[in-house]
Amino acid sequence: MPDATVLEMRGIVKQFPGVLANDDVGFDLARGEVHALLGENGAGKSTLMNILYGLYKPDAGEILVSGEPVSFSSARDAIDSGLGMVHQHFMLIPVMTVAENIVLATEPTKTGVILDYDTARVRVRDLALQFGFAIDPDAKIEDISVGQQQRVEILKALYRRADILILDEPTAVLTPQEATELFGILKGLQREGMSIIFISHKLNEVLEIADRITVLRRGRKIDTVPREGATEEGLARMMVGREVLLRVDKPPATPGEVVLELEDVHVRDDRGIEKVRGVSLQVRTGEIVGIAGVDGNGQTELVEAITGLHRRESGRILVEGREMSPHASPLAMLESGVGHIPEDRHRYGLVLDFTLAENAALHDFRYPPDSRFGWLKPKVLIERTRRLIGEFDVRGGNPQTKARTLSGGNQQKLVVAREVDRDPRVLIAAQPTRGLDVGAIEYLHRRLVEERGAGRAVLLVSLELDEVLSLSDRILVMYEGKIVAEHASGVTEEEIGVEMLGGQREAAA
Amino acid sequence: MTELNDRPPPEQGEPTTIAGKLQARQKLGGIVPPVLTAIFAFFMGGLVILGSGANPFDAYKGILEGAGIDWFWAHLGNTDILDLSTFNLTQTLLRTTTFAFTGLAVAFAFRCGMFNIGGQGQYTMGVVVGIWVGAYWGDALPNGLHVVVGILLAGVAGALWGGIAGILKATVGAHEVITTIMLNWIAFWFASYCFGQGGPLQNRTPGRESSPSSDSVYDNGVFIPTLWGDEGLQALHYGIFLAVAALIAFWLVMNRTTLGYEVRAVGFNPDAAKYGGISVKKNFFLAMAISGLFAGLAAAVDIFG
Repeated sequence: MPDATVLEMRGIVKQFPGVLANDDVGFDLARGEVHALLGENGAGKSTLMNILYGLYKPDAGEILVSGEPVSFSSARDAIDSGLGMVHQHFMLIPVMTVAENIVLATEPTKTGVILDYDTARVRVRDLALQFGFAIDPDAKIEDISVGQQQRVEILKALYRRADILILDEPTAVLTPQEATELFGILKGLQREGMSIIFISHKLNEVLEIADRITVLRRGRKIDTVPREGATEEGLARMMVGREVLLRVDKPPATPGEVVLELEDVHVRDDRGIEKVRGVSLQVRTGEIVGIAGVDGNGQTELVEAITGLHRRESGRILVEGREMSPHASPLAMLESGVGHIPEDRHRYGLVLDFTLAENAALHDFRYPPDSRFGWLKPKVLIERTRRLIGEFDVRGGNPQTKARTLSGGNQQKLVVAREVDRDPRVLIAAQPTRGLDVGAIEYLHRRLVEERGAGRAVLLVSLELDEVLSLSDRILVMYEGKIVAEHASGVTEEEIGVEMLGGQREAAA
Repeated sequence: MTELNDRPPPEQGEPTTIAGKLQARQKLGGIVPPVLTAIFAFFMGGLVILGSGANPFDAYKGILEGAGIDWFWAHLGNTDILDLSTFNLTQTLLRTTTFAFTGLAVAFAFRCGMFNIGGQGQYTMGVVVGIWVGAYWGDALPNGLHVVVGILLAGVAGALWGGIAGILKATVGAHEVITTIMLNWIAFWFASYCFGQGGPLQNRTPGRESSPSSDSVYDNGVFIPTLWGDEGLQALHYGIFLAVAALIAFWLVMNRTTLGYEVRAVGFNPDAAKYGGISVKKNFFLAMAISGLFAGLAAAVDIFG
């Protein structure tokens, strides 16, 4: 139960060139408490934590650990004071074992130089047992799952005797099941007396795990509230600074003719494993068809087959009644009228080192008016991008800045702007709101519904079940490469949850 | 894994690491790091010269004068060094012409994300074809046209040689560093055979069998007009303007054409390029071929210059 204050940050100010990242921010952390820092991207959560961890120096303000003022000039100082940070991107060495990674920099040695691996192993195993972690000390990092790697990071902090754990967006890289497991672990640690700072922009997570929630917006602390009595709507309003519609307001669908049709499509991945095992579906104009499913059940491969990025093994794909060859290139699929918001905007959606104008032309640079006889028309590109920036509210750049410098939400808006502006007959939206904050999600959801209203066919693939449920007119559940169920909108999360885990299939078998 | 970053965009952050600071400096102007590197290199070289017991300033002065830099003030009085410095400066500019082309060759492939280590082989093939055209096609073509055809075909030869590596990369995924190095040796031995004893391109002028047949190219009267310097020695020719033109063409192609757009997209992010409907394989081939074209042109300005 929360009692003594173990950590306090007071009046922290941090000025970066051109942006006040933290403006008089403070919060306190009680022993055995999970304290969430909630805020949109760029609200100053990570800056605050980097200051706490000794990576940045604050311009003003103080940090107290157990009531004593401290001044950290490096992460080493912070670690010595009992802080442990689990970064969003893990700091592990892939070719080394779990035990080796955990003892790194504080290795037990024989005669001062040789690594005493056996001792390291035993210590790591004991530690894992003590906190109830299921993990093999001898496994190599590269062979274990992302969720397990995260546990290694947590163990690493515990090994260094941390009693305050900082988790930076810990669920961003996890599957829903792994996230649930993580929450179990955190609750266990809490019972052991650990104090945890949990950084997130996901409302439901914060309400599930935190005892108290501190909301940041644009570098300022808005409030600290206890979980009791907090609601998603209230927190969203504090985060964004205005009323946010968490439920999408949408008129009933008026489906027209079929524009995308799949018949018994099979796809193998690069390793030859059959990931899509006979999918048939139809998407009509004016409707959003959502595909729900746990990550890794063939959704990615299905989308790549439809967009021509990956060759299908067999089956037919028809766009507006025209059959597309299995060898159809991504260009052929584009030209047939398929638009694609890819699930990984950094890998596929954008060339990060291209300017916004160049990125906005990623499909159309080859056609007039973007180019004539092979010569690009920079003015046309820039003009169009300027229009899209205005229309889709892309902030933080102009047509000539590089896409890399935009925040994730604005990068995604640029991708969506490009895809919608091409006026495709069918829009494939794969994880369109992944990693985005509430305000951007609200905007993108509204936009997808508008596109549907404008008579576009939308195929939505998402791992966020509530996203699929709130946007889709029809919902297909994908499990192990097959569509195992179809629902009209209005189905409950519980029903679909069971089917996503294969429940329906077993019942039918 | 997608980057789900919560940090402010990089340019807002204060660079704390050395790499970060360097990057910020690079944004101020790409010119700073190379200049610093050069100064540092001179400094280190100076230490070595000092260690060997000589005066580094004398040494660097000697190097610069050897490159003909004293030509610029030779007019002011000391005219007896004018001939030598003129010769030195023209030689420097001649080398510059060649290296400008080979530099463009490396740069073009690099912008497509490839290391073209095969400039040497592509250059060699350009030499072989250039000499063949220059020495043997004289009867068929008037002199002016002859030079133009020779330059073009030498360029094409380089392009084909580079293109082979591009095709290998596009079809079987063979890495261009490996294949271009292998192709270098193939080109080397092919040229050795052509110009060697009994080879098809051996010099046929009686009494000059052992010398390269490039002087029969010159004897044919097939050469780029000279611009400056003694024709009997190697004089600076109009090829240097070709190099400047090539530089401008490089920039235009890279930044103002759909071809350049595709090459850069593939170089920065092949996955996104593919998603954008760009054929990555086609661009591997094209970039290597154009890279080879520049190397072949380097050969051409040497042969016909």
